Amino acid sequence: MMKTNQYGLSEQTFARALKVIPAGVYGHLGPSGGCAIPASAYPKYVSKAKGAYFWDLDGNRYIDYMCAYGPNVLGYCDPDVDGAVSTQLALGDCATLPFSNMVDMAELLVDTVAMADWAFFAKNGGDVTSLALMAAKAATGRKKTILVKGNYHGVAPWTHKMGAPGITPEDVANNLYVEWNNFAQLKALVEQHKGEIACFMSTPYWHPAFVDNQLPAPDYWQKVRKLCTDNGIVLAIDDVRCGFRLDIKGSDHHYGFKADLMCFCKALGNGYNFSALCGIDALKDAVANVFYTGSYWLSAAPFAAGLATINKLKKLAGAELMNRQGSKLTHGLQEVAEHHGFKLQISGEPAMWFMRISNDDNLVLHQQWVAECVKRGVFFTNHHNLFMNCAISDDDINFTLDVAAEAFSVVAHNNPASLNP
Amino acid sequence: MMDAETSAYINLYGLLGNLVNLCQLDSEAKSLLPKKAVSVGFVIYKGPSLALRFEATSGCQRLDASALSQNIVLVFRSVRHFNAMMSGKAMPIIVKGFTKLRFLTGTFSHLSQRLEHFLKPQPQYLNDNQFNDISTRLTLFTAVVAAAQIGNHDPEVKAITGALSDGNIALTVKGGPSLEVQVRTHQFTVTEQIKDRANAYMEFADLGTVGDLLAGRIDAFSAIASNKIQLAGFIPLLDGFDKLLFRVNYYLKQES
Repeated sequence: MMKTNQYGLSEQTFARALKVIPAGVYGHLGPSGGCAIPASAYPKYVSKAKGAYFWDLDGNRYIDYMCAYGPNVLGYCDPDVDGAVSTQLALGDCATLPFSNMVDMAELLVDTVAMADWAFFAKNGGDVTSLALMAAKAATGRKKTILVKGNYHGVAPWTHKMGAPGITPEDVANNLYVEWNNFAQLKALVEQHKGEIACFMSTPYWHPAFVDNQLPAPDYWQKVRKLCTDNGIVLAIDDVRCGFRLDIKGSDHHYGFKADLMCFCKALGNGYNFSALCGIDALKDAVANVFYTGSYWLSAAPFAAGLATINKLKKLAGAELMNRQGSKLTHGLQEVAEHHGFKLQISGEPAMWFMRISNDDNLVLHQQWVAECVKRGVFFTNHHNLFMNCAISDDDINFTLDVAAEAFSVVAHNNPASLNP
Repeated sequence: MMDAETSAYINLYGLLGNLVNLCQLDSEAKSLLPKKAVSVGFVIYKGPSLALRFEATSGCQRLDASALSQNIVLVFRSVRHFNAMMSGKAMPIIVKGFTKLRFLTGTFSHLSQRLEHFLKPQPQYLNDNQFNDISTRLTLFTAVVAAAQIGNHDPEVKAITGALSDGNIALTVKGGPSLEVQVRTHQFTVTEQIKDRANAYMEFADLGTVGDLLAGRIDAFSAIASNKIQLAGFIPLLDGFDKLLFRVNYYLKQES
């Protein structure tokens, strides 16, 4: 049997945090969001990160399949990216005027992303999804947005459901919702609100937490594209999570259509902090007229990171590599699961797959299995899609499969009735 | 933020309905009960109704029978009228049981005060373990029933409840009470019978954690992160119900 992790220092630090930070660690990196069950199976803090791994405060090493929830695309502390950042930091970072590498970054995105005629930079994914809505409203003079149920677009008030703490009816009054892949419903809603819809925003495929992810139905995006064009609706793709993992040219290109606006963040700078809204020429004036800025949005070090990251992803054919390795891993996990009497359901794209043990209908077996993997050095979360990065090797995948096998055997031993009802 | 109809359901089922538990847990309350059974019906025009039976041996029971067929029948013109009565700002319309008015002004009034004693504890009682135990059990019932009623009636949470799939949530306290919330077609019911297998589980480490949480001395996220609350199962059910629990404060603060 493998040694299982202890988290003494993590827990001590977390106890300090609870006194001075709301929820100790809040948001998606925290243990309370429903993706770390039980919370006691998970470390709370990182002490260092390199390549495909991070180490927690207690010195336990993990192969990290969450990749900082996406930003780690080349491997932590990638020498090419960090080198470019060091060079830029020696020159300066946040100044009164932007450094010229902002222009270099925009040119690189326009040259790389198939639909892009321009790029506008901010800090987080949510900055650019909000900007996309503002730009669509500015361009069309309309106020309503159609969103897909279950999609995540950040934490601005308009992205929440009515009834959530801190959200008022006015915050979401202009949102309309459709089901994923339901073109007929979308078409009917557009008809019902003829001339009122500024924007249809969606992720390129459906990857909410807790449920099997779904790819677009054949011709779905092509039909949506035509519907939006025919009705003067801006088609905005939130590629914050998928961007550069499916296709270096953009996820709209991957699925064979052209968006009007594309939101990027996460993989853009391999962990250095910036986001980008890319768009078509017809929307350039509208975006220019929206007053939208932030103190650190034009800082130079993240642009240096972005230039190095995108160029290295191109050189490595990173999207293809991550999808290939993702397929290898997920097929291996399914085989190991079957060997131990479990059915592991895999959905989504291989570079950022979603998985779920389907032997029970309440996810308890899955939560137990993931917890056993984490305690043995493979960092998954329960119900969020996982992520590949370019640094994950075949040896890492083999180690992962060994850990998965032992974790399955532990869960099988603890739940005999669930496997042999 | 507050909806009068939702508030009436909370007052009726979460507060008055809690008299059943009060008379089981608190010997002083039980000693107030009459030897000869008296039943009271609460009838709200275009709103919910409730029938309670009070008797020394069997305690306080919630009846399935019509509220209109009880010994004493109290009618309210509207949910607002009922809510005003619960706040002490209005009187009910007594349509039946004029000969038993002494029960209302005596026993029933004392039971209500006793319930308030536990649900709105004064600081001097907080070091009394027995008091805390009863107070927490009663508060848990009120909070969970209130959350369920918010889910059923508050128009501002429809986006949350509409996204919830059917299932059962087991709420348990180690060594303490348990409640089950059933979600069926976006409607919530609360029972004290836990089934063997739930779709989602929320287990409190102890009654003290429940008390801290309900009194706002600790938030749910911190309690989960520090293992004072253990979650398992289909988390979206718990996440949705937690958002309803969060709103309970708006309603109960309004009542105080």
